[in-house]
Amino acid sequence: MNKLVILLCLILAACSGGGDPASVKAVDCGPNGDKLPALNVGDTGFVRSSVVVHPGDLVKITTGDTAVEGGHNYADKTVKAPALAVTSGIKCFKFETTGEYGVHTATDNATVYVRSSISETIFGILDFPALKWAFLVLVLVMPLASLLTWAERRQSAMMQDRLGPNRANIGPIKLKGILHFVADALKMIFKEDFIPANVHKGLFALAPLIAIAPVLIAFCIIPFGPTVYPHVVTQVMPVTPDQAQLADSIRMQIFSSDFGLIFYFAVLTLANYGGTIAGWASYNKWALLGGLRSSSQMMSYEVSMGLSLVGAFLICGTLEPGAIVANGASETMSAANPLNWLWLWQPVGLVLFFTAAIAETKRAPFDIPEGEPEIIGYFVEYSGMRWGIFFLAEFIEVVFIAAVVTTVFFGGWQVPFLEADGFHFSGLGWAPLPHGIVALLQFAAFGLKVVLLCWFQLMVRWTLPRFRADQLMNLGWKILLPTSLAWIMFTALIKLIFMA
Amino acid sequence: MSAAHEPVEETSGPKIVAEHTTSAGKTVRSVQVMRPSAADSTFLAAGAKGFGVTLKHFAKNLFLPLRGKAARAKAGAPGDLSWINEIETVQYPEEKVTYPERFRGLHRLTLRDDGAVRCVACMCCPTVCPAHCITIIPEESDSKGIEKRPAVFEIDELRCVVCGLCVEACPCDAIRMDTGLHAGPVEDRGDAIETKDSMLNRGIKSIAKQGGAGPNWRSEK
Repeated sequence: MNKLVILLCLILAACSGGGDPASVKAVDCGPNGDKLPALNVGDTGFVRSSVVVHPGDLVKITTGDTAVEGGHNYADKTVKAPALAVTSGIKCFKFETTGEYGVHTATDNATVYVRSSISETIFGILDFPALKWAFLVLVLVMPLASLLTWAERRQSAMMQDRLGPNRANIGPIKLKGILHFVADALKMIFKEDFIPANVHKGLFALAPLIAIAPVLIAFCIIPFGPTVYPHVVTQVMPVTPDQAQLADSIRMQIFSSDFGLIFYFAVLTLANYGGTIAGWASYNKWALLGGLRSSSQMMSYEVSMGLSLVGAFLICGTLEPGAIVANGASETMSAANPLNWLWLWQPVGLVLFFTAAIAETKRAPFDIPEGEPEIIGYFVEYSGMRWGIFFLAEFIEVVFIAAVVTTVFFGGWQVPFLEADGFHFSGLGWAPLPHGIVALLQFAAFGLKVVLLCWFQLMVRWTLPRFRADQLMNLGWKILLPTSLAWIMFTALIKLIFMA
Repeated sequence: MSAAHEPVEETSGPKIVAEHTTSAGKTVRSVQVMRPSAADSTFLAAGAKGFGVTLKHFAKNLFLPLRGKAARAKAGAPGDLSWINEIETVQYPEEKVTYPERFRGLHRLTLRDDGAVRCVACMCCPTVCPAHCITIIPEESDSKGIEKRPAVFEIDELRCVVCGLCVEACPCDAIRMDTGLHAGPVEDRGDAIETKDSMLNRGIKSIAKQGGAGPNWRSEK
């Protein structure tokens, strides 16, 4: 496990854009990417950046003009990138010079800098991607996934008029049996790590890691909270914050890129190799059947899973989950308005994606690869913690699916009607809140939405009977795929006619 | 659920739509194949109905504080019933269901008034026992008028099928299975053998007349 964590950290550091603390990225400027033209008071223009600009990023426009008047350097100006930069989905935003900075003209060596959000202070360390990933995985994902192992048994018991596991205890501390996951973990760690004869030892050992690593990596794209500005945590966020207030921002998303959700599709598909390789390496016919079933199921449902989100991409104009959460579906409404979240704009997309995503977790009613009543599944030869890793990977996928659905369809970390400076009730007034409280509420909102969606997935798992293999394929290819294609066309028409 | 009470259409085999005889004299039948309706084949309507059922049980069992079986067992006032959920679990070592009166539990040997074992080693019970789990070694009794008594009386509870024939066969009311106890867990097979002492420890005095009341019990009464 240690090697795995180190490997993941290396991958994260390599794939995150802002990993180098000293990086300051030069960008082209001007409407056509040429040199910055002469600037006058009230001028507007476009900056085209080579990196994604996020709301709140500090953009430094340097004209190269070193003229100093009255002790002020009028040449340099830092502006806050407006929300427009990510709304449009292109790395381009509008700026405007103000009279405060006087009149100056550009010289030939004019450049525009987008300052990396990594700074040299302690907050810069907090903004380090690997640290954020560790925080996300250790504080949110792993505890939630472990608790789900208990919640699933307890919840299914409640649905079936039973009590469920409620006995694990440390002395008198029982906590309704929550400690069962501790007992389970201890049991699995101390169990014999049995490797049957004739297995392919290398792949047999590698398969659980292949199953769990992509899921943990995929969490990088999830925006699990708002961007935190450490210098204003005790104040109400002003409408036009200045540079000092916005400095050292910590963005609660580990890896943001233009291809956002495509990254998730690409990476999570790799997890399927874990099951397939486990099935093949186990030298067991049942395991091999399970691995093959796993492959065929993934292939069938990946298609409609990807297509079911295309409608959301069309509406939002971006693939970047952070931008989807920050902007919502429509530019005319606040992103904190629940009516602006995509569940209302993409109801069919939501149902299609959720169905395909549950199939992706390989849990009932789509548990054909596991097939406990008939073939046990691809991990039939695994024991102890190796099996436990498969088990955990399944529950982490549940959490991840909940996080993706939250992010894309239910406004991510947005709290209804909570803007950056407090609650805004249209027509009723404004309840100002300090930035720190706002950020905490938004963290809690994200957590709560994820927990609720996990609960819903458990409800699905314990309500619906399992599909037969042929029913599974029928649903995937004959129902989900045509519906998602039709829904893309419909969304495109709506977008073209009403939102163009 | 109410679905159980809805009338179910009686069918014997597929519904015959058309029937004709070919020139070869064979009868050809066209039957109607039952396919799920469009509403069912999308799984949405049926799925939503299922969610209603499970959600109702989940919410009821989560929010109502009194546990079903345990609460109903001691519920006196009918007004309390609204707080009772549907959980049927009995938490065994702490809670036990009451057994029926004729429950056959661990054996015991009954005693005479003077505390001696009532068994006369007549060998009826090992004879009738279908599992051959009773071992009796008789010895001469020193009581007046009683010929024999068991020196060894052992029952292997792992072999016992709890049929109760030994109790039926006993002419002296010497062996009973009315203790209401289970055979406990053991770590060794030998530990599951009940000895004369252990069964006498559970024993009670029997007031039944030794040797039965005899053929003239009606007139004596």
